[in-house]
Amino acid sequence: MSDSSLFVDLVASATIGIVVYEWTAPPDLGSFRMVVENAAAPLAGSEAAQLGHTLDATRSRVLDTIVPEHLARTIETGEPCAFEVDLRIDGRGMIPFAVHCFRVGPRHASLMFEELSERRRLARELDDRMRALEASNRALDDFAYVASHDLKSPLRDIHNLASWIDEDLGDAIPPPTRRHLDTLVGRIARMERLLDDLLAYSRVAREGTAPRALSVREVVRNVIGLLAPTHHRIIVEGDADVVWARSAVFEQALRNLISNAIIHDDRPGGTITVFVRAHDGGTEVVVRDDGPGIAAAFRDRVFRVFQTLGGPASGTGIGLAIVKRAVESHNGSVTLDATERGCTFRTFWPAANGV
Amino acid sequence: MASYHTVSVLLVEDNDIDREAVRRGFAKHKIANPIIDAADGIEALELLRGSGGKAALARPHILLVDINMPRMNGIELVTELRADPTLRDTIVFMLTTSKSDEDRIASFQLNVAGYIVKNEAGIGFARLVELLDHYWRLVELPS
Repeated sequence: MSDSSLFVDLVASATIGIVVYEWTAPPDLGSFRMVVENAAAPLAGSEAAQLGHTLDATRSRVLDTIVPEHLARTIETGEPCAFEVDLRIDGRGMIPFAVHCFRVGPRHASLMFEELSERRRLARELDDRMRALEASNRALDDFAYVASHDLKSPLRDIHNLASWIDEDLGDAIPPPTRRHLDTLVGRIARMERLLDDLLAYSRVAREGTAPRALSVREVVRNVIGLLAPTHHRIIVEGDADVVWARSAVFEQALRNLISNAIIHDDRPGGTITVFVRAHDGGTEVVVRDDGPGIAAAFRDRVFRVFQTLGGPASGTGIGLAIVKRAVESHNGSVTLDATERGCTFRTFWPAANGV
Repeated sequence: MASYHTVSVLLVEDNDIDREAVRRGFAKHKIANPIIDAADGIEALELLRGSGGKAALARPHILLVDINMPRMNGIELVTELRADPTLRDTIVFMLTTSKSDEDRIASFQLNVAGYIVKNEAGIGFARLVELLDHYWRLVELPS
């Protein structure tokens, strides 16, 4: 078998539709004559697309009128092009095709037809699933919000009742009951903190302001302004400064990282370094401390909701979960590198087009 | 003090603990002004208008109004009051857990005398009672 007959076979049996037109009388756009058509070509065998027909005879019925212009331009310039057409296929109705057009000789251009129905169906399905997932995430956020909000009211009542028992009985309360009452009030306060934090966590996703360009140095100044007085040194380094983010959410993330570093430090005054650099289509904001660090075994757990490592400084365990949620709501990421001493939280915030 | 009329307080609140908190606050400050309860906006309107088989509340009075209530909420109640020629001068303090800007703005649009968040148990109420005590000693109320 000769090479050229192999090529003929290849074209004839390809599962992708292939036709070749010859431009018989340029620049007449009505003079494209079909010279090759394989079995997979979308109109193969139909009356409208017999081999040897000119495009002009069929274009009004089967091919979009821009096809001759595509063929002409491809032959004139040698530049391949691609476009989409809907073709009426006998027994199947209108079917979308992606068409690739390229020059195959001085006066010939080939069209390759790739059916899009399946790809369109998958895209639609993917789209539907994404929407369902988004709706379910939203429902979960709404639930967290409503639950934490509505649970606060009975808890406030319990808080009131406990303080009235204390007020009314005062010194008459026997020591064990006094201890229980104090424990009760402590647990109520903890529950109130948990609900406040859960509310804050659900608000990260609900907070609806638009992202904008923020100065990391300015945000760090705001964060420091809101911190309790501290002996820690907080410095900003790096050659970049701008982050594209929702301002309240970004500030919350940075506040949580910085205050975490302070409250978990085992010495009175360490240094916290915020390092900012442009990186791979966005900005990397690194918060590094020289505190006690986090043991390797726990590093995956710190970002989960209500996970703490115990100890006197432990809060409710939501701070880093909020950080993770904040960056992920911007399609960014956060990772923790920890050495024997110190933690390094690397957050990545994509640039404007990434959100 | 001939012009000093006893001001009654209409407490429009569906939560019994919050009602008791207000009463305790009054007792603690030795304020003996009568407190009348309404569980929601509809009951409050009946007491103010003397409808629904209830006797009309004597003036002068002030209203402490919760926002989230069944049947008719606090915003709806005050909207109704402001549209009623005989009740539009009613003095209303909102007393609510809602920190939402929307509720706050809606309340002041309705000319409330104050918007008080009952966030921390006890504290909010004690301050409120002090405020009211000064308020009705100092301010000439519509009678």
